[in-house]
Amino acid sequence: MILTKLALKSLLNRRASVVLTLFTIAVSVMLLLSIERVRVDAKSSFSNTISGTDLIVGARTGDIQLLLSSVFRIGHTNNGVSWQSYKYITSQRGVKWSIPISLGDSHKGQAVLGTTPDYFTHYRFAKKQHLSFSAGNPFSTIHGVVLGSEVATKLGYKLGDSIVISHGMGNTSFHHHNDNPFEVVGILDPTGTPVDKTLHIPLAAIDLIHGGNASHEHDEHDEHDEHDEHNNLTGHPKQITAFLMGFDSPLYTLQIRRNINQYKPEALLAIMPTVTLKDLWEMLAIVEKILLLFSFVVVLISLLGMLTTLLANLNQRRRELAILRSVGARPWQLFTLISMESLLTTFLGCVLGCALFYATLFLGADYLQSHAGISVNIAMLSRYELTLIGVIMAAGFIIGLIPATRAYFYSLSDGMSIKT
Amino acid sequence: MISLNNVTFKWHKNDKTPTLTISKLNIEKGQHVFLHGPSGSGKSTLLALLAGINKATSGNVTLLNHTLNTLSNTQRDVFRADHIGIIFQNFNLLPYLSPIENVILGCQFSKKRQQKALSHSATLNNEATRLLNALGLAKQYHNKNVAELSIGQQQRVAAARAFIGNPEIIIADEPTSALDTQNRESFINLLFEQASNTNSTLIFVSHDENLKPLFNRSIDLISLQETL
Amino acid sequence: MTLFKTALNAFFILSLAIISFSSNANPPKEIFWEDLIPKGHVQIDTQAQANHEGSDQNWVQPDLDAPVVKELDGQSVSLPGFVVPLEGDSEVITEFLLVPYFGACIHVPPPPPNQLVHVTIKGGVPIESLYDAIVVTGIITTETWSGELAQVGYKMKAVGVAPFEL
Repeated sequence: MILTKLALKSLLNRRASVVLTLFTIAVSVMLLLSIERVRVDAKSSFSNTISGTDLIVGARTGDIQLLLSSVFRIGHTNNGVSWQSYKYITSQRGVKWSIPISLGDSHKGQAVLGTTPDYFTHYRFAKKQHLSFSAGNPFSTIHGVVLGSEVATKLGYKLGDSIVISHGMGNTSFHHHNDNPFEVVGILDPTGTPVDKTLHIPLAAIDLIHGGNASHEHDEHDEHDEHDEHNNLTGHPKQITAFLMGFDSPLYTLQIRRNINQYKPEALLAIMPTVTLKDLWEMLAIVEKILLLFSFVVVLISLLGMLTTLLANLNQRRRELAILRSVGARPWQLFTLISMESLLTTFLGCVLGCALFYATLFLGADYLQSHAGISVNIAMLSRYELTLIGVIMAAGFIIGLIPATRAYFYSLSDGMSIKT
Repeated sequence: MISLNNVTFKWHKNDKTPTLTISKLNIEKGQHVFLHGPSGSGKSTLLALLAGINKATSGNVTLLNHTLNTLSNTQRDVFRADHIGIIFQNFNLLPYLSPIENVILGCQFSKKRQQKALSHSATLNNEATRLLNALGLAKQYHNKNVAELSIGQQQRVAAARAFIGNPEIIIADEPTSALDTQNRESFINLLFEQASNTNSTLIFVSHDENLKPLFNRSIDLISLQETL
Repeated sequence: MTLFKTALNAFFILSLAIISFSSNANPPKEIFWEDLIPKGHVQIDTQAQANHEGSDQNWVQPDLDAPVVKELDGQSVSLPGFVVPLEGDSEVITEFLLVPYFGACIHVPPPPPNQLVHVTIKGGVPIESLYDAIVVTGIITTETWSGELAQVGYKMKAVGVAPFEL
């Protein structure tokens, strides 16, 4: 079609300014898509971290704090749950399984989790998937450690390697439990959750490495000395950070949660992970909306830049419009011509923006995974993202109507007369 | 083939005096008409009426048996595309099209003209080349950037565009005013040649009386309007 | 937001149509929370019960005092309520508890087991706000599950979820 050809040629002729406009639009599109993709994937990553768990119980801090610290290893808890309370609560009727966990130690910046072998049978993530091993088994002795997949790859550990745990959660520590090295007995498959960045040791070992005598049930013929050398897992610390629970039926959850929250002997808090996560999203909703708004404003600014260029140009193009009228172009055709130029520019800007977006994804995915635990999906554009681009195209089209309308009226009033 | 009867034109309905008043004007087919008058005598207005850009306020403007003032805006635009070729004094060309493409532009808004052009040559490109050659533009300039052409060369391209597809009427608005004296006559002769080939009517507007002798008919705009 | 509501409405209408053409051939029966309690059974106020602090029998719902209506087993029903999510991802909720009042969760004593429904919905459903009541349509069952307590309760395989219009 003659108008399309003229529009393309016209744009080509004004290459320099068109390229600048293209670039601005492309960068703004890239920004919008990146922010939205990371936001959606972050939410998805978080939501996929824990599954099939009815309650998480910890010290009475705050819902979201408990969730973040116990499951996502973000932040910390200042208090824990006494072993007594843990035993009492989990011995109630209706409790199908429970997993105690203890946090606070680290190894080269990666979190160390003290737990029981039940963790490997009952912990589930992302649509009730179980943990699986790429090598080895759960720990069966007190000095065994199971590594998350990323710990193994990042620090280059294999089965049989020896590890020393440090105290505290910083990247380094000056308090090492040198006297109690651990042996790598298992490595887990990747899960895309904080499990990958965690080292798992027996709960009984936590107290041991802190130099205390882990109290355990004494049998008659139990002999031990100060430096415990027994290899079984019967020890337990006086306090744990939190524990996970599953019941015979979710219908119990509400009642048990209430009872734990009102538990007199100790200040405890029980949360339903999915509900608390939803609360977290609600809190963040306003931030998300602001982010989206900002991204759109940036896009709008770039489109307005395009508008400015087109309008500035239009005055110089009145001669061109007169020529076209003289060869028989109708005013609405001239309208279409100018409109098409802005549409083409917006379209090319979007295409370029998508290309930049994918480039950013490729380059940034690793960083996000290792530093924020967000696994970004380098997949095709989702329907949502395509809708966003559709909106941008529509905006570009509408903005393009302004110079197009001006051109229309110029062509009507100028006719064929020479106007410089 | 072109006749005006009791035509007046006012820019605004409520203007007291019309900008243009012509009681009678007849132009035969194939005539080469020299239309002259000083600036302000209504040349541009008359051209706009003939080209169908503007509609007469009263009276009839008839071209090729089409009474333009009875046609809608779109119909007049179509008529112009089909039957009229226009050459301006300067700045005739679209800067982002090559000379050949500029020529072809002349028949891209009219199917009739496109067909007529294709009846002479196999492709529009070929027809454009043929016309450029006929109007004396050397081959190496056919695809150059129009900014690199001299005024004289640009006018030839404009002329080729006006002639492509053999429109019945050619309107040339001071096409030689920007040319130097040497080139003027040769340019006009080229126009005559092309017009005669296709038996088109040529209306040549100018304020330069020295060109009058070249034409077989001359109309003075001031005296035209005085005959009331 | 309106787009979601329209989509949800469309989904509801569509699933309603599917249900009516399915083997059940009857439109789902509209039930309310009272219908989940057998007629003549005097439901003890949970508020009073919950105040027995620390007493053992209260760690789970009082099992003897919450019988179910066996006649509802296998029926196609629609029931309004609020959502307490159990499983899902960032987009949809695939498993939830349907409760008669919002906040059944936090400060107010939770309802007894015959005033709760454990709902699963294939493919999940997006729930924007937990504050809004919804109507769930599906096949309700009264199951006994194995565990330490031979407890009965309501489960529902939902086919449609729609906003609750007053």
